[in-house]
Amino acid sequence: MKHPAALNGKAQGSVVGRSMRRVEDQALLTGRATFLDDIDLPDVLHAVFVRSQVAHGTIRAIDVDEATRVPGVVAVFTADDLALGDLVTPLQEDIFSPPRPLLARERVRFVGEPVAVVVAESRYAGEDAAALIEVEIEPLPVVGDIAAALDESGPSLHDQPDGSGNVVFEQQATMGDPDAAFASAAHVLERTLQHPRLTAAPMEPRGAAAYPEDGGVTLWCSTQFPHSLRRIVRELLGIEQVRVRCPDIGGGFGLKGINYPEEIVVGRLALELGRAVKWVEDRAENLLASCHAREMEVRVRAAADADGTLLALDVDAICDVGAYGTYPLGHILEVLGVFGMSPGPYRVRNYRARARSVATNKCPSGAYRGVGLPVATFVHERVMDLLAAQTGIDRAELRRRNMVRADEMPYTSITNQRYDSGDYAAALDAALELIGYDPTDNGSVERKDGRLVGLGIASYVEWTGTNSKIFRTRGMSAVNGFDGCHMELDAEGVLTIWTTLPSIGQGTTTTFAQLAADSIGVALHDVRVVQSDTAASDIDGTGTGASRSANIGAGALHLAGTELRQRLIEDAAEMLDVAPDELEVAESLIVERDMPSRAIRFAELAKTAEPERYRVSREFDPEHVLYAYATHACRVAVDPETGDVEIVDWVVAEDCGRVVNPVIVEGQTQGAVAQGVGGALYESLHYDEAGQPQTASFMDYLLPTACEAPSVRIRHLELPVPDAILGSKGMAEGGTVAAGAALANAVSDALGAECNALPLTPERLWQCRAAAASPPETS
Amino acid sequence: MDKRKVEIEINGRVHAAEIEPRLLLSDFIRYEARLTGTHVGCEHGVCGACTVQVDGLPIRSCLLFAVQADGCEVRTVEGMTAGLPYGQLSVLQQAFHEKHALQCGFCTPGFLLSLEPLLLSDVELTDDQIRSALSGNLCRCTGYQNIVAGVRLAVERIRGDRDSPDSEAATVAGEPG
Repeated sequence: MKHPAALNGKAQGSVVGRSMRRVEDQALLTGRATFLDDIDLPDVLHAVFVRSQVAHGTIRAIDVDEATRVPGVVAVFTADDLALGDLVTPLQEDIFSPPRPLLARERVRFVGEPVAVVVAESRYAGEDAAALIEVEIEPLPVVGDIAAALDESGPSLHDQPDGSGNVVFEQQATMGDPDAAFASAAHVLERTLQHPRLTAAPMEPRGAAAYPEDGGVTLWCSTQFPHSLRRIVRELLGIEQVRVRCPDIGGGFGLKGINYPEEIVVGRLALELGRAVKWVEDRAENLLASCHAREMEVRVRAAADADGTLLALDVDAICDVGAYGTYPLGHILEVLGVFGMSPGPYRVRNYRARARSVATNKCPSGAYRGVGLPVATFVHERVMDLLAAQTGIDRAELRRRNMVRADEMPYTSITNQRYDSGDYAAALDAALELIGYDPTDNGSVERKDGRLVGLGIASYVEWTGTNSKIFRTRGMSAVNGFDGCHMELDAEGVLTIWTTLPSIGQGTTTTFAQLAADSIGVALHDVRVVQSDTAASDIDGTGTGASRSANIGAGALHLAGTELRQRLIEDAAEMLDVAPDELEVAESLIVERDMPSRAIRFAELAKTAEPERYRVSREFDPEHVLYAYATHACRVAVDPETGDVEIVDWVVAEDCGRVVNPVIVEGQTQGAVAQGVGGALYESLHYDEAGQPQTASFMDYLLPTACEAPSVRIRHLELPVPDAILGSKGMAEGGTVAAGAALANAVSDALGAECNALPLTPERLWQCRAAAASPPETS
Repeated sequence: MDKRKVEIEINGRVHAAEIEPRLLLSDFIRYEARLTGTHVGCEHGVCGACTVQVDGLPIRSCLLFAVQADGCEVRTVEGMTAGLPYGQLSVLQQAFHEKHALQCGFCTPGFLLSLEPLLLSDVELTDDQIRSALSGNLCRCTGYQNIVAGVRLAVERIRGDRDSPDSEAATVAGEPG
């Protein structure tokens, strides 16, 4: 036990802010972690889904006879056998929410849609049987892309009550007087930007395993949103007793923040068969049938005056959301991100925006790190560079002139985003300094080796930690918006902490422990942050995603911890017969300030306390959304012959407020930049006209390797955040938000040709250069 | 399908089983030998998460049938700490830990098994060469920067200790010093 004298001079808040090494590493490094497929389930059955090989069609028959006779097969189920309701994301009444059958009924709407499920003693037997199932589908014309979706003479994927065809969401608004601004502006530009269809591709694919327990079902799931999954399983299976537990999770990036039909079906199978049932998808299923993201076309018009001041912005965004929405976020979030955040960190007072989601015969599209903000940033950062070229004003100076200033905070944008705090120009200046920006350097510098050098800047602001108020405003009623924490101190003095935010690799097992140490005064080695479990207590929440952990998760933990600390102090005061304010807490010890030899350990208090006394649950729903921001800058060298793009340097100046663990925060930024680079240069999901996926493996969907990912230099700004409960904003999505814009700007700069479509493949670069050489009539 | 008898030594222990010829080595390791540290990320040989060593060479266990490893010596991540005091990590694992070279950890065993031979060589390693050596393993979380740093630290420690005559020999790859 530490001598009480050692506590003298120990500063409050001394654990948060340190680059502590991670407590979760030991198990992960030695192969002793437990991912979904590692869970030891005695006597487990394996579920294999049969998936549609046709993009659009009417199901005529499903022949399972041969399949049921395969040795080892226990059962085969179709939609009729399970007789379950559809998965419907609750949205505002006036927004159509496409119902999604758990197993296709009557109609299939994308290649990969689950049609039947085989349950067998081994996965090999299950796949043998699945291959023998004949699904007779009468093809329907395929709605293959945005143009086809908008063509009213073509088929509609869903029966909308108001007959809106394939436009499954539309929102329009005009603020200020954009028409007048465009009419009087010295400079006007109009462009169409295109963003490819991407997918998160975590290294661990999806999986779920269920078994009957306690009169209901326990469902292990590699999910970021366990409480949401519990809710929808309860609803669709019609049972109350549902427990969702998270194993170690091998990455999620938003893809696992969606609750899937397969996961719900697995729960049902366990109950139906009275045995444990496990489902693990393979990579082809993950790329074809989980969750896609970001496929958008945006037509943008911008007006500026002679000195580069942005006068108006007009954005028309269409998102190809695939065949169905995704639960619990729905099909509107990505396009709302473009609608709401196209102004970015800039002052825009005249705005027109139209946002539409259209259904096509492709995999449903939903959440992936950044969710809509990568496209919004692509829009405003291309506009900035294009305006700079058109006005002759330096691109950094143009940004600086238009940025919302620190003294204007909190600033409510034209789209009602309350930018709470920040100094956008300071981040810009820091990034420019890091990369060695020279305003006289006019791009396209040709190096000795014949390659063209360019520099790209991308500034952005992002919402982090969306609260319940905003989710209600958006009509997304299946998303709670708050999160919870439950903690228990046992008789040995060990503090166990559960939150509603599963760890997915982002280090919260360590960072939450750091926060607990500071909030409570518990010794770090006495803290165990355990993986999310809906049975841990009554807490409910949203889950991990949308950069919620450092503000909302931390907030719930702080509220619970503060209450626990108070109880410990009260009880110690009584035991020591002093006033509570005469006591200090640190390292799991409560000490009388003026007589440090009088002290009592947490464990001693816990031994004699009532069982519930040191068990605390709290939920946190912040009043304000916090807006993190950054500027990224990169230098590229482009080979004009081969179209190869080498990233020579990448810098980030970011502000997420108080940094809980610098090494972990930087690791998030490095990883996000790499993902963003992938989406900007290499990754793209394609379908042909028949709706057949062309990119069904890592041979075609190219994730960046160590040779493609850049080294990233990072500077933190850490400005005060008055509205944050602990001074921290969320973070970790920034790299994917900024990378596409930064690279489009850098490559455009290098080539001296506009690049307004991603990914920047060699073929695309060739097209951009050709277009620049013979420009079309319209600008 | 007729089953075949195999004997595969994994981390020094022989696993005998009667298996289908089509059983992948990755599945044999995970389900027959019940060593779940080796992970399956793609099953088409690209991501490298399933990398183990067979007779000393890193290979993708998703691209090998277990029958092909009959009579071979296989090394998985669980073998890296064999012989070490409880809680101690090998030089490479320790370097990964110190440099935050893992986040979700799913790809990590594959990286460790792929990298071990590199550490034991004498090849001069620039950052570019390290990245090239890593290019057969995909990571979606880290962006690779800290993995490169982890490799560099491990190389320095192993080679530094090897060159220094009276230092304690570094425990490379779990072998006791």
